Amino acid sequence: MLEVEQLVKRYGKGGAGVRGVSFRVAPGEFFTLLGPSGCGKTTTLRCIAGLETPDGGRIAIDGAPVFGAGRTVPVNRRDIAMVFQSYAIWPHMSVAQNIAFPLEAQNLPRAERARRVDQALAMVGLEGLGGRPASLLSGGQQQRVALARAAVRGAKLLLLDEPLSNLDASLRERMRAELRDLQQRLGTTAIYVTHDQEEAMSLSDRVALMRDGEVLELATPQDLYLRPTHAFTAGFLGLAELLPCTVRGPEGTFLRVDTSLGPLLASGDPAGTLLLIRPEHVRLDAPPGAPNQLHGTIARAAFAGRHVDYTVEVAGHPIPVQAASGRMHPVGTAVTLTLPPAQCWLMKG
Amino acid sequence: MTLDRAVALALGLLLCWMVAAPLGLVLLSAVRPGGFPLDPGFTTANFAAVYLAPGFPELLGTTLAFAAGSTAVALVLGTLLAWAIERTDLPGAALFRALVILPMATPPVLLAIGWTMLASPRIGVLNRVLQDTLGLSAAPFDVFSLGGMVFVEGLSLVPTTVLMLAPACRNMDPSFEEAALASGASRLRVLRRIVLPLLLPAIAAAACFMMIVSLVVFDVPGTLGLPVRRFVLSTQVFHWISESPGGVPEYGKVGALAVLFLAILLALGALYRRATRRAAAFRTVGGKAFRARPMPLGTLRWPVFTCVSAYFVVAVVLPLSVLVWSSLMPYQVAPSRAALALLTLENHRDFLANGQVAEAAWNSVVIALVAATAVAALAGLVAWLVVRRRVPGGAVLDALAFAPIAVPGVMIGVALIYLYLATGPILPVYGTIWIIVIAYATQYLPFGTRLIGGSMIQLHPELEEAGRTSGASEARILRRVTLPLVAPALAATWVWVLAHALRELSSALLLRSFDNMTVPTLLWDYWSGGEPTRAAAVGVWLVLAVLGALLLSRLVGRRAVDA
Amino acid sequence: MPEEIAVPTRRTMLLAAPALLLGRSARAQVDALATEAAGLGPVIWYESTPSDLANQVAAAFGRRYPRIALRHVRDSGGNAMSARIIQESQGGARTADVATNSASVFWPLAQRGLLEGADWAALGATPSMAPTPYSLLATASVFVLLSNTKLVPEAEAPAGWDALLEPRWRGRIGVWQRTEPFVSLAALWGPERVADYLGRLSAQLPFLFPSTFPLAQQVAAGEVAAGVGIYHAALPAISRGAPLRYLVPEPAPISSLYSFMPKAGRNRPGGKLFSLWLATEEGALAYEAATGRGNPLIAATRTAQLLAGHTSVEQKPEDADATLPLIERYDAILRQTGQAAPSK
Repeated sequence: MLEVEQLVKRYGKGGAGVRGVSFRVAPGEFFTLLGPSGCGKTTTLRCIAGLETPDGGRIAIDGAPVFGAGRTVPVNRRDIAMVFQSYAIWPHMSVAQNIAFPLEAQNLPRAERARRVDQALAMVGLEGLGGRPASLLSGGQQQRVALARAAVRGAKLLLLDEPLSNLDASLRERMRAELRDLQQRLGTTAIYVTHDQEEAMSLSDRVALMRDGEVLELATPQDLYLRPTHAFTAGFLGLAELLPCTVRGPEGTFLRVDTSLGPLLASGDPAGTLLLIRPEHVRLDAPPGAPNQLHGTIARAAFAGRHVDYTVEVAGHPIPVQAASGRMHPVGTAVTLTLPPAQCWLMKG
Repeated sequence: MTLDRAVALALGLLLCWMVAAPLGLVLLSAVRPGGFPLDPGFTTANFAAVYLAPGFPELLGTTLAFAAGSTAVALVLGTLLAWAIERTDLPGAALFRALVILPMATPPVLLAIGWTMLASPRIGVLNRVLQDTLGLSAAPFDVFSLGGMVFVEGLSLVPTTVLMLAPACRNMDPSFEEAALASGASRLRVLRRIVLPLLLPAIAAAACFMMIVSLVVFDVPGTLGLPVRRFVLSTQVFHWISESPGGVPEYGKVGALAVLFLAILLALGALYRRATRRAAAFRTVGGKAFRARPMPLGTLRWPVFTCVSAYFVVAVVLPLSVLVWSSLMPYQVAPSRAALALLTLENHRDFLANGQVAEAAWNSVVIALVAATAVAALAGLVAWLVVRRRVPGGAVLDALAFAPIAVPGVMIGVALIYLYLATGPILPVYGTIWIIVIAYATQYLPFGTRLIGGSMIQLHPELEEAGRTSGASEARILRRVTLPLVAPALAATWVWVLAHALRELSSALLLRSFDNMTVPTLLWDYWSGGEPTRAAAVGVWLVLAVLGALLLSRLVGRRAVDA
Repeated sequence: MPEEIAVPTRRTMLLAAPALLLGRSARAQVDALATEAAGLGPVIWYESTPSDLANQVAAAFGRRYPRIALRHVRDSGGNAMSARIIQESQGGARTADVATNSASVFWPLAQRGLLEGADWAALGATPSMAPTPYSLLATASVFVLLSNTKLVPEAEAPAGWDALLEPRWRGRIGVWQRTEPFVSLAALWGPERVADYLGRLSAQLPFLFPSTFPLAQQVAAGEVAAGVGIYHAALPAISRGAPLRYLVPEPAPISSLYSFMPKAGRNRPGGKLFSLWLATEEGALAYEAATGRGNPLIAATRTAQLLAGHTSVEQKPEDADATLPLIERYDAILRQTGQAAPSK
């Protein structure tokens, strides 16, 4: 559906450039470009849209080249729809006029336009608000109008540039679900740009993690989170404890490694030198006798509602642990940590 | 009483003194049998003489056609130009941005003469070149016609239009255009359906302004319309003031006509407010940060470049070339190869050797700097109080600051003379450069308030509210948030007033005395003494001075941004 | 071709005898004026010549009266001077001590009671030099027929009023938008004949110019081939080599400029002294040397020589009120006829 090959975009002063980005997106896929600000994810998206002209590489949408080999298809001739971070709802138009604009640009007859605008309004739950001036909408409503405007065109490729970042937390979570639902119903391919790893993982079929203008890692959310190949990925996607280690050799289905906490069983890259431990994978309540058990003392405990954040001192080394919030261990309690070997992930440094 | 109200009150009093008092004197003269405000008696004869004159409907018709036509030309060219140089990746946009103001420095009378040399059916060099190369039997252009007047006046209004629209263009969130492009709209549709409507407040403000300016402008109709009897109201005003057979200016009639101009102004003001009623809809400068990304013109890039270049050739290069040409001629000669033999630097030598130049230049610079700064400050304050602070009585402030535009500059000068003759013992400004400063500040205030007000409407209140919630005082918010955001409009106002004050003639002549000579009065001395080519030499130096001032202000501006 | 322009030399100026033949008592009056004026500060002179030229006149006056400084303030033309004097008089400010302008300007001022009268006859002035107590003749503008020497061969140059009505001049001539020369002509021809003439001239679709200076320049540039101009307004172009010729028509309309003294002046003796000096041969020649305009009643001036052999015609200044409707009528003829048939 979308092919991006060796995309290069240089920037003069301090802007986010893109240095040879390549990926392919399958039809119907929800694909996310994730990364910290300045990593080049928005630039990549704008190159796909045609709002920026790359300095090199090739882009094809639905098999048709839109950039490369000396030709550039202008934005308005690309079969895309885009949702902007600021929504870009035109303040001088009503809600319906905003949504109808892409249809107007296609010169569709008035009646057909009205029918599809009503459909789109219903789809985003704004029935009956078509006549309202766009400038009187709340943030969430603007977001829905922006989505409806993008959806109404029936484009094969939907581009979303941090569409949820201007919403408050609860609305953001609800819109996230609606967005995914909408994309599924429309069956479009979506390219989504965000710096929020949770958003990326919960929405996407696949995620490309970008850093300094390059795609560092491209995988499904699970692989990226549980089985990353880079320390940066591990750290960017969530809380991570990274322990330097040395692999001693296989032991059963796992690998035996030496760490500053002592010998442990782990899985992953046999040539790995770093051990990733996610705080939520560490168990405090496992029965004795399980592998990878360490003894320590609770040094800090913070109640966070859904879970409790502990810092456990093990051999003078603080290990973050996230445990279910049913029971609180007071500071000073001696505990036994269990690190499931399947979730102790070895990777290169 | 809050600080706002105190400031508004003080400003209101100042504006009453600066604007209402002179305007009152102008209107008073309308009911005086002798036409002078301090003359005794009362009459309505002036109104009858103006409005019931047999030719009046036709005169009004020609005037409106001229004003509407010039405004249309200026708006179409100015909007496209402002958009192209501010919002797109037009090649050479920075250069165009700097050059667009240049024609403003040329005194309009010289510009009109330049166009005679270019497009007169008899001696116009464009006509001759086209006739020779295309073998035409008749001259293709006739600048001595209503169309010619509209064209030249329209062109001369373009720089102002660009200045008024450029800040609005610059401040517009580029996602608005990008979203439209990404919706599949062509660039033309984006311009028509998105850009133009979003610029509507700024365009409406510019339209009001241009309309009134072209109602009262004299130079172009006087040079191009008068010879072929295309009379407009301003040529009539000129006749009343300068050429009335009685030997005394008929200020009474001018005052009576000013009532009509004020009425038109109020009507346009109401239209403007209607056009921008949903002011909130046009807060295109949101709280969200955006990078000013130029819109890619794509395949239109070079065609647009060609059009913009063509405009610059026609509006800047051609007239300025004729100006330079004239300044190198001993007497007025249309450009031709044969005339090359006459080339002389005498006019320039003469200008530079003129003992009055140093004094006149110093006066001009002081007047221009003070007037420009005063207008930017006053207009900024008025716009801030009216648009941002919404003080009670704001509409009155706004109307006061806009009203001077409806009165010919000469009439303002006349009224100021009375005002400062009467206050001579307390405010001894009559006969000094300061009365000229006051006249210019009054005359140019309307431009400043339109431009800065239009720019402030665009600001989302959140930007100031954020400052307030940060615990900043109002003064600090004004200084650190509002001012930097409207800085482009303030700077544009300053430059515009500077350029106009450097070239302004009519009120300077009226207020002239021994020691307040300015460069344009020097120019006028040559011009009216039958030496237009020497006047052209002064014009060339004026344009150079304004160019220098522009470059300097850009340099200073850039440093200020960097700091 | 016209005769060479005779610019008076310094020598002729020094040799010139005073035009006002002052008797013993008059001379004593003048001396008294000079003494009085010297103690009253500079003499302010409102006049329309560019200041650098007018300052030459001031310098010549200063050579005659070294203790009196003359300061020239340039009037911006048209009716600006009367407006200024009225305003300054009404506002109680200092105004000109002496001003030079046409009857149409000083007459309304005199009627408003703003001018000081004088017994000019006692000072030796003839009635034609001092037609009213408020005015002393200073100089005159002479209307001439201009043509472009390149576009119009000498033999075809319009030399008389009727020549301008020939069909070949249709759309090719320029006139001043003020009908002053024709109003002057009416003093000899009578109002009706001039109205008829003007109607036929308007049918020629002449270009109207706001002032006679650009008119002369546009004849020189070839924008119009010929026109009714003013002699001294054509001089700057001619002196710089422009292809411009002038012929004095018969009868020759002139427009006299007079010196007059506002009551609100602070150095009125100085103003009076300067008025008198301008009316002497020395003053008239100095003024003509600077401005090209001379006093037609002083034989040594170029202007008097120009008009020699011609009937110079003009309305009387004291008839200004009666002339007013005539001007309005002629203005209307000149402006309206053309509107009916716009030029192509």
